[in-house]
Formats: sequence, structure tokens, C-alpha cells
Amino acid sequence: MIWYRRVLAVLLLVLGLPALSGCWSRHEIEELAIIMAVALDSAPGGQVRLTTFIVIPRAVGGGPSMGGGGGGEPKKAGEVVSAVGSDFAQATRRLEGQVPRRLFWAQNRVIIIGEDLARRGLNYLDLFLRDRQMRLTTPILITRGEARKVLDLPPGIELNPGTILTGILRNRTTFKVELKDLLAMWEAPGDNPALPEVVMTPTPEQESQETGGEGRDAKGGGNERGGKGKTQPEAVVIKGAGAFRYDRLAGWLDEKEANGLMWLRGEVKEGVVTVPLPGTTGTGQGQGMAGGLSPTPGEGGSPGQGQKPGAEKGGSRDLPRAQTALSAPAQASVVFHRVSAKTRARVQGQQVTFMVEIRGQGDLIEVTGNFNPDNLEQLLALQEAVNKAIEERALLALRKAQQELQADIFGFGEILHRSNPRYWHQVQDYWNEEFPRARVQVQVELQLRRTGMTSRTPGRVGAVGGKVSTQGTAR
Amino acid sequence: MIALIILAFLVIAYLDAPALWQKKEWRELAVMGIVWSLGLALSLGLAFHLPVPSPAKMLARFFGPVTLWLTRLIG
Amino acid sequence: MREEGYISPRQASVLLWFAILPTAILFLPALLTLRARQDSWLAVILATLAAGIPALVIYLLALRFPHYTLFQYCELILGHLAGKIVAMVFVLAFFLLNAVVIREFSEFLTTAVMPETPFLFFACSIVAVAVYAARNGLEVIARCTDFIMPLLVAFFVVILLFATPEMSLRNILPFLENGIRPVLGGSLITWPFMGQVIILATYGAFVNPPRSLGWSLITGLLGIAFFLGLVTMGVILVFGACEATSLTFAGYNLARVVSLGQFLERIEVLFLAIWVAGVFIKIALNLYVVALGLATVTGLKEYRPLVAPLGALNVALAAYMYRNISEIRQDLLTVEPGWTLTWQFILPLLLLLVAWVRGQRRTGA
Repeated sequence: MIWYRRVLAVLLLVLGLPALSGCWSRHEIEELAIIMAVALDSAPGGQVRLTTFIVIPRAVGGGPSMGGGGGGEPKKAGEVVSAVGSDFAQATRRLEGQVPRRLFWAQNRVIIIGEDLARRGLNYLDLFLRDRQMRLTTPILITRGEARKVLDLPPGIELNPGTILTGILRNRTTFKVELKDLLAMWEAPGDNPALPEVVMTPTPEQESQETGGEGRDAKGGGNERGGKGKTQPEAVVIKGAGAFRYDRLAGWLDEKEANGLMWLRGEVKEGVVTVPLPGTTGTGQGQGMAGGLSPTPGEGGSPGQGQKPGAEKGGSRDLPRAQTALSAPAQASVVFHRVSAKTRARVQGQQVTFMVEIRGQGDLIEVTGNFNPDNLEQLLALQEAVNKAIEERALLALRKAQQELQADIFGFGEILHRSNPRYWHQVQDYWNEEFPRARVQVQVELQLRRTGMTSRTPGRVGAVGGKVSTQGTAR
Repeated sequence: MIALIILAFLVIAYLDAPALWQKKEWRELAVMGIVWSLGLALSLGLAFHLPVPSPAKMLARFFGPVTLWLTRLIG
Repeated sequence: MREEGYISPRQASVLLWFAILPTAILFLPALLTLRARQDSWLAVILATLAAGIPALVIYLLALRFPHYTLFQYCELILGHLAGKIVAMVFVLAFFLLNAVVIREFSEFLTTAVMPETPFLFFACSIVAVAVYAARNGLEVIARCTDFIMPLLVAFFVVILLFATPEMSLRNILPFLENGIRPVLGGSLITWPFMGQVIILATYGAFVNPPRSLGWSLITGLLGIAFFLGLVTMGVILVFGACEATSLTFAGYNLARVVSLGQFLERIEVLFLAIWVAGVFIKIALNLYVVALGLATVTGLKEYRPLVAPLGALNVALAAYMYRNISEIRQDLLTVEPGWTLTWQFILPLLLLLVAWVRGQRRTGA
């Protein structure tokens, strides 16, 4: 009896041996090529191009100071690798032929789609939904031209483009679309996807050579690496949006329209509105709302030039176009929060009307011009101007979507679906054709609540802007 | 693979069979033997890629129509 | 044959959760939203109400035959031969069910976590552990739940709480878009999971006192409806009905999107750990019931020798029952409702009717 118990014990041990070698799916971190950003493009001949930003562990471990040394620029934290294939699975396979380690996707921070691929359709994203390493929470961006150019972004505060872009997205300068949101917008019959657009901007010095009238103050830049004539783009801004019709890119929204889109989708939670100060007649009044409304505090500089914080301190596209103007138009900026947008749908006969109600609170944060918030009328006039500015944005986006794109990128169809399923069933199959006929009423009621730590604008009473009427008439 | 299967089934047999044999519980031993040999036969059949009918298929043949009928009835 | 130990009514109801929830939270939401769209949560509630009927049947049978298992009173009610045949049908049904569970478990792990690891490896490991637990008896399985259950509940709470920022309430509207029929169809799909409440008719015999089985059934069903409903609701709120239909493992995806700020991310590992523990209980319990049933039908004194061979046979069955995951999903949609309604709903009901007509009871035991 004893002997075969012994044999069995040995047998059991042998049976356990395979388990000692570890799991099948085990991968040591030293064997992985960690992908931080992915760019998807179309390639000639119906093919696709997959470009990935793969971390170089040595560069990350040492931090940016390692490569810095004596005035050199920060070392690149990763390598951009690219491959072409008939679909992304094939491209991935070919990519693996170029990388000495095993590709690891789970840390991927961002997916950027190029314009051409977006026009071909979103079906190409399937790999990024189906593969188990991919995460549905990965933000997704679109860009004009080739997406892989975005991955050439030089390191700055953050070392790799993936972290730079998600960092910017976290600032809420613009809306953020994750893969799962995109999937929801794409699959819902009463919605069409819209993706935030990432724009590569040239370096400040390049810009100052190229254009004078870009509306951007280029004075501050260039002291850091002045004289270095780089041709590659240096910075990114996330602004504007790419609008889809069903699963194909249909057109682009500029910054204002994208902002209106955010308001109508109810994506705005916080941000800044800048409007010309009502009641003033500055010389720059003619340009309307130069730079008008930017969705978040400190839009100038910080998002785009995030990796070069020292440069361009004064440069902000919110400033009027040139220093040479005689006197700047008086403007006021309001930061708002607790914004909520409520949309209701009403059907009368065959006419669908959407009523969007935007409510929120605002604090005055900056006034350039003569302003005294103790004057209630002036305050209310400013509030009115702010509301008008937001409404205008919304209507701009609406006009674009209804007349140009013929795509309901606001998800209004789903709102109709929810509130009036019976009518919805009549129109759901051709909702995008039906949508341009829909009426949309936008009502903005942002209330100015607080005016900050000072009341009237500083300066000698009655001196600024040459107007005295606003002083001393409190109530 | 086949060696592993046989080894695994030997271990399973060893767990209880000797004790049952000693206690002369022939009924237990018989039932266990039937289940055991069924498992071994099935495993070896699969390892040799023999065609074994799937019970899921048999269920589907009969209860597929039942489910369809139920679905039409209430859903 | 008899089990030595007894379990408390609370343990019985928690075991019932584990008999249904682990695979249901993973596979059900995606299938359910296919049929019932945004009203899936309602389908879960309807299915629970429907499961109340077999629960009542189990309770009434347990009152008639206290301390007897389903397999035993089959024979008492229907007589020697017919009773044995019906009891054998139950044994086979539980056995097939367990094979499906093992298959679902391994299929999910190979798809979502470790694709290179052979599927048999997962199946064999979980069944080996389950065999060990089942051989130690019901009391041991019940005590396992005592420490896994708080984890399971905490995990539900964490996932659903932290997923709230991703939820949008309007996703559940419109209510009853296409009338009640899709919802009823959805509850038909929920049934194969819900109907497993019948398992309480077997181990319910070891609940002491027998009368408290009613309490176990009610709390068990309510708990299941609560958690399953919440997960289904969470999936709909986070992803929307359209997207939920395309996510094969919607419950797992729910755990994957959860993040709290920047520091608490990727908690799906937690999901996996607790989920595997839950499936372990489910498989161990099923294995125990199958072995107990087979031992009863064949008139053995002892079920323990049967557990290990049954486990091995189960793994082999699980390995070839379906060719791929699509067959499992297809089966869950188009075959299982009819099959499970037959053996989990109609069969016990018939048993009760016969017992009632014949006026049989064994209260003196």
C-alpha cells in the first residue's frame, strides 16, 4: 500500500510541473512595447496605416532631465512606428515585425483618426473595440490630414503625445469622446458621431514669418529655442470638431461651431465666455467678438503650448488682433459653472421642434474697460450679452449641421425617440434627412452671480475709456 | 495529451476506488466505475477527434422549436 | 441518501444567489438588451416574479416532504420506476447545466483575459477545486459563501457606485417603447438563469428548520433580482441599449469603464477575482447536487466517490458541447428558454400536482 502512495505522490508532483513554468499569457514588462498613442490613417490602394507611439523605457525612467543636459531639447520618450496593411490587424502584425518587443495596447492613451480614414468610415475601428487589450474608455480624436503627424509631437511637460492629448482633454477645453461614447453615438439611430479635432500648430516663430493676420500675438514665443528653424509642427490645440454622418466624416466644425455643439449636446460644464462689454464703443467693436467664447479658463496658451509654459506668456488669441490698434475694445469675461442643458422635443403635425434650455451660473473674472458691477443695469446688460453670445454659437453649429452636413450631430433624434417614440418610429429610418426640417429654439439663461474680489475696474474714476457715465449711478 | 488524460483519470480512480474496494461497497464502485469510464471514453474520444454527438444539438433539435413557439406566443 | 450537516436559512439563500448570479451578470445583459432594449431591467423583474411560481412549488413540496431532496420525493410521489426516471432527468439537467457553466467560465477567461492559455486549463483547474469543495459537503460550500458573499456585495456596490459618473439616466427612456411583448421576450431569455432557483429543491432539504425555506426562497430571489437588475440597469445607463447589445461581456465592460479620478482604474481585476470565486461556488454546488442526485437515484449510501468522476466527465462534456461562443449565445437565446422552462418550471409543477392529487406527504419523517 505504501509504495504506490509514494508513486502517486511523485506523479502528482509531476502533474504540477507545467504550472511551475508560469502562466501561458504571462508577459514580463521588459518584454513589452507599451503603446501610448495610436494614429489611424488611410493608405493608398484601399489600405490603412497604423502608427503607434511606443515608449522607450530608458527615456521615461530617467525623466526628461536625463536627455536635457546642456540646453539640448528633451529627449523623445518614445519611438513612432508605422505600418501599412489591408486592415489594422494586418498592420499590427507587420508592426510586430518592426518592434523587438511584444506590442502592449492596454496602456494606450489616445486614438487619433486621420481625415481620409474617417471619410472611409468608422468600421475600421473594430479592432479597437474587439481586442481584449483595448479599453472602451480610450479618448478618440480626429485630425485634418494625416493623423500620424500628431504623434511627432515633441515632448514637453508630458513626455508622450498620448499623455499630452489626454491631459488637454482633461482640462475640458473641448468635449471628450471616448470609444464607448463614439460607439453609442454611432449605433443610436437618432445620433451621429462628432469627434474633437486636434490641430497641429506651427511654432511661434514660424507663424510670425508666415502670417501677420492670424489673430495671434507671436511676440512672446521663441526665446527658448530661438533661431532654430524647425519645420515640424511643435504644438497641438484641440479645438473644432469633425462631424460624421452615420459612420462617415461629413465635414468640419470650426472652433465656434464646435463650441455650439458642446452647448447643444449638454457637454459644457464649465468654461469662459468673453464678450464685448455692452455700452462701450471701443474702436475694435467692428470685429464683433474677436476670439469671443472659449470654453475654458486660460484657453490662450495653456492647452496648445502646454509643453512650453514659459513661452508665449502674453500670447493669447483672445487678445485683439494687433498691438497697433489705438485702443482695445472693452471686453468682459465670465467664467461659468453648474451649467445644465435640457432639451425637449415637441411634435406638432409633421413639425418637430426642439427646445434647448441652457441654465447656469457665471462669475465675472475679467473686464478690460470701464465697468461697475454695482450698476445693476450694466450687469444685466452684460449677462444678456453673454447669453446672446452662447446662443449665437449654438445657432452657428445648428446651421452647419442642418444645412451643410444634414446630420443630427446633437443627438436630438434620441431625445425625440425618448419623448415621442410613436412619432420617432415614423422618421427613424431617415432621420438625418428629416432633421434639417426640425426647428430648434435655444434659450440661454446664464446668471451672473459673483463679480470677483474687486468691484469696479481699477484705474482713475472716469479715466478709462473716456466714459464717465457708468460711475456713481449705482441704483 | 492522451497520457495526461489517462493519468488524470487514474488519479481520480485512486481517490476513492481503493477505499470502496476495501469496504466492499460494490454498488458505489459500480456507479462510480460507469461514470468514470464514460468520462475516460469521452475524453479519449475527443483526444482522438472521434465524432461524438453533442447533447446541446439534441436539446436544440427538440427545444429549439419549443422556444420559438414560446417566443412567438409571448414575446 | 442523507447529508450529515445542516445549513442555515441565510446560507441557503446566499447559495441561491451564487447558483444564479455569477454567469448571469456576465452573459445576460448583452442577450437581454437584444430583445428587451432599454426595458431589460423590467424583464429581469418579470422573470423574478415568474420564478416565484417554482419557488412556491418548491416551498409547498418541502412542506409536504420535509428533509427530503427533490430526487427523493420524485420517487415518493411518482413511484419507483417513474420516480427514478424523472429524478434522472433532473440529474442530467443539472449536469448539462454545469457543463454550460464550466464552458462559459473558460470561454470568458480565454476571450477576455488570457487568450494564449488553453481553455481546458481553466476548466480543469476550476473543476478540480470545485470537486474538492463538493466532496467536503454542502456545509463547506455554504461556509465558503460566508466570506465570498461580502466580497461579492462589496464588488457590486463599488462597481455600480463608481460607474455612476458614466451613467446617463435618459438611457432607460423611452419606457415600453414597443409595448410589453419585447419585455416578455426578454424575461423568457432571463428564465434560463432565473429558473435555477429549482436547485433549492435539492439542497433545501438540509435547511434547518424546513419551514424557513420560504424565507430563504424569498430573500434569495429578491437578492438576485436586486443585483441582476442593478447590473442590467447599470449596463443600460452606462452604455445605452444600442451599445450594450454589442458588448458580449457587458458586466465585465462595466467594470472596465469604472475609474475614480486618476488613481483608481482598471478594477476589472477585482471583478475577475471575485467573479471566479463566485463561479467556483456555482460549479461546486452544481457538482454536489449532481453527485447527490445520482447517488440517490442509484441508491448509494455515499455520494462522495461520484464527485471526481462526474467532474471529469463534466469537463469533457463542456469541452465539446459547443464549438464556439456564438453557439453558446445562440443556445441561450433559442434553446435554453424552452428546455429550462420544461425542467425547472413544468416538471416541479407536475410533481406538486401529482402529490396533491394523491395526497402524499411525509411529515412524520
